[in-house]
Amino acid sequence: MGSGNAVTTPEDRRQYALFGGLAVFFLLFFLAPVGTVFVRAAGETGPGAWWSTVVDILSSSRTRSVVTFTVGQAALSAALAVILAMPGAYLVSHFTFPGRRVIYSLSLLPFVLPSIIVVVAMIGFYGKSGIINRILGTDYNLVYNFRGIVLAHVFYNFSLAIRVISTAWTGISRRYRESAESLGDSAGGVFFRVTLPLLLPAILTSFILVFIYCFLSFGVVLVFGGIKYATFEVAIYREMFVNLDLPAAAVFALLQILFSGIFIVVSSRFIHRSRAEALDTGTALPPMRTLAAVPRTVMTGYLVVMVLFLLGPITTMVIRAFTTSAGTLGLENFRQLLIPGAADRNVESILRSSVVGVIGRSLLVAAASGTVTFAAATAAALSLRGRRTALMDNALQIPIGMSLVTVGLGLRLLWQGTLPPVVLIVLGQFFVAFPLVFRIIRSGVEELSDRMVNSAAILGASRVQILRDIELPLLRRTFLNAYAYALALPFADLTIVMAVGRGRIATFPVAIYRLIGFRSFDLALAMAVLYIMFCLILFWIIDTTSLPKTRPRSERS
Amino acid sequence: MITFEHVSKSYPEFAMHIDFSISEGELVSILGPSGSGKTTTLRLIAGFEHPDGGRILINDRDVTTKSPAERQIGYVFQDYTLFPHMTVAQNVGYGLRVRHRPAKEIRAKITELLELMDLPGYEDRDVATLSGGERQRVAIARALAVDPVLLLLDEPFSSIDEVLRRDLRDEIVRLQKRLGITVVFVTHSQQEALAISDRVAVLRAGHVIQYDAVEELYRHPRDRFVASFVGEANFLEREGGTLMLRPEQMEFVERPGDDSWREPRQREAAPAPGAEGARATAAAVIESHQFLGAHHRYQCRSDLGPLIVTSPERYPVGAEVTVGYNPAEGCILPAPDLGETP
Repeated sequence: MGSGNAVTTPEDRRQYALFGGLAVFFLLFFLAPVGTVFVRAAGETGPGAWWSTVVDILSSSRTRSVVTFTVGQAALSAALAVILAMPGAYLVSHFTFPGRRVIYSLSLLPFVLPSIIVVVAMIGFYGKSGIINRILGTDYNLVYNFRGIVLAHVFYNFSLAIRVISTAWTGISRRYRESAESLGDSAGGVFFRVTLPLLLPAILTSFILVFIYCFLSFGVVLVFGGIKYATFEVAIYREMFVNLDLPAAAVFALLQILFSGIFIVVSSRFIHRSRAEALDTGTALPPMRTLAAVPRTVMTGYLVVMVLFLLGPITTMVIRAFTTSAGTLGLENFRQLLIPGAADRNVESILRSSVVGVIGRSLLVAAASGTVTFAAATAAALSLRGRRTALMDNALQIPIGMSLVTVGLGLRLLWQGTLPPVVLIVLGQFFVAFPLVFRIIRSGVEELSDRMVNSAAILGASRVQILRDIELPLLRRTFLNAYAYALALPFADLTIVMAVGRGRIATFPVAIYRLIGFRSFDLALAMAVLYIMFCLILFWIIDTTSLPKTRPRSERS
Repeated sequence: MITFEHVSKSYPEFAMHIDFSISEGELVSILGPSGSGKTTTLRLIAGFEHPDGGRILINDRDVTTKSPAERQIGYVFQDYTLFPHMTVAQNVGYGLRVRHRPAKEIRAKITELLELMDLPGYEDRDVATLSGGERQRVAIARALAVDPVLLLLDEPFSSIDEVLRRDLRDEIVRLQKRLGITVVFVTHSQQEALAISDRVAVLRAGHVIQYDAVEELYRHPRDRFVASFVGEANFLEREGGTLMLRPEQMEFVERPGDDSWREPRQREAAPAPGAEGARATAAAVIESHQFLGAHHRYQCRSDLGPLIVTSPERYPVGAEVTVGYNPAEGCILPAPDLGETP
């Protein structure tokens, strides 16, 4: 940080205090819990025996299958997502058409939708009694197997790939292409010799992102994997809570951390190198052309299939939630869910809580965790402004590759008895959201010219005045966006809540998981729709109660 | 006014070490090639950067560890950085507002400054609707609003066109004389530096290699680097050093053999007033020519090496000419070139 400055200013001191505090927080609630998992595991095998236990676990066929499956499904899902995304990215970056925004916005899906809702939607669409089978009059098992897992992962992530690739594609200066054309290259040649190489970093980035999400997948595999398939996350969870084998859980956690570490080191190389080269920010975008220039039918076909692929499962889920057992539209499912005694089964005993309790708990936990995460990320990003501190940036991103099950488990092992489980969930979820929230704010803050802030500083504005007068108004979008993620991620989190609460503390995602587990699929659908409604309300509140703009933008420009 | 006492700052690419001072009421330019540390010097004065060692004094007050807000300095950035979400008046009044000055005083000050900057009635304009020159004047007004002891300008003319640039340059000089404020100004254009400054600090690789009044700098550069950086120069190698002569200190004294073009007005062959010694001449051939409006610029090959000569007259390329100059008017630069080892 201070890069050897001999002079210490009050600003420096504030920074040391801030990052000292963050370091202590990471140490107490992240590193120590993860360490505890390993220490306890070693303690259980007893001294001397731990090494042979590790070797036994490592050489078991179960471990081999977990490694093969985790890496294999992640690679396949990521490859499919990227391949499917390429035409979409081309469309989004080159043309304007109805639904363009929708496709772009849908890329937020993986972050906002809990995996468990994706599961519900996939079952409703592709499941044995799903829409596809009903239309075809068949009963193919499309979801509870390897295919289903990959399908869900592609569904979940492919629009993220569209977003990453299309952003880069839009940013590739037209001048490069035009230079190549003027030098006599053919259209295909320009694509393979100029565009594709410039696009490659974005393609790799999106592949790596999707790969890591799938690698760390928990909810989808927990439900669809049965006993046959398990990612590291699921394996850790099962060893811990089903087989009660802490040493095995620890070995899987260790392997997971190892793999993640390798992926992240490799990927950060790519991602860092890509930026400056691929993006030419100096050139204004060419005006969007219309769809007429491409073979209309081909592209329209692609769009229709993709929109169906993306919206089909979600729409089906909503419609089915409002469908009664008699097949008509109605609120039966919601009544059964919300009114005690209205269902054949005791919902409260399935959830171990009333539905109202689930909603209240979810909101409370998300609000607490989201606010703490947002405040910490904002403070960190603002004080790192203008500094290229790869070390600090990378350190703050570590939780991204960490097994969340392990973190939750460690929090439970280390702090249970000292802190109530709900607080442990809030702390654990901090690490779910922090890397992303920090990155959003950091990049927004970096885009705000350093000079803008310095201008205010030299005119005599204090730190607080700068935040109030310059940063908040100018970064309003960034902060809102970040806060929305800070709330949405814990709201959607299944992993930490399951690992800390062993499924006994019900938030929205856990409730849905339990309802599926107890074969109350219609109630799970209703619960999922309730969840989405709450999400929408939450975002609407954030958007409307946020700071008003200082004044409307010019009517003249 | 401003004193840099052994101020040092290290970066991976280069190390700065600066020792110089600026007097009150002066307009000083910091001139240097890109990467020489010009902007860093300005940022050190402003307090955006802190030195690794040494002290910075403003009016004898040690401000080394003071924040920008505590220094009472006006700073005009290269791209003006007007706050895009504020009107012209809100921008200009910002420094007073954060100091919690009464609204009436702020309004009065805004009106006064906008008038001073020739922008009356611009209060409610959106900054996005302003032209480049207007933006710059708003930025200067904003900087002046807090009655700074010092005004810092970071390449303020780099993003505006040539004509406007000249006007704004004049305006800054006028303003500086009128307000008597100390102005430090960063530029990489020697023309700009010479045109408006009282004194110029030439920076190279993080060191001030010469700090002098503009004419002194032009006539008596310390080394070859400064000589070529602040203008065009002819270097004549002689015993004991290099003689540096500006192109306008050389002239064509003898018309070429061909009579088909106009005979140049013969200049006074006597030494210029104050200059001593006899005139010297050299045979030369004109190799290329450029018309620069007020005069012609010729690149010649001569016994003394390549020469650049300016003349109001037009000569053809290839003409054989005699170049005359007064060695006493030139400046002897030490050899070997110290500029190579900063």
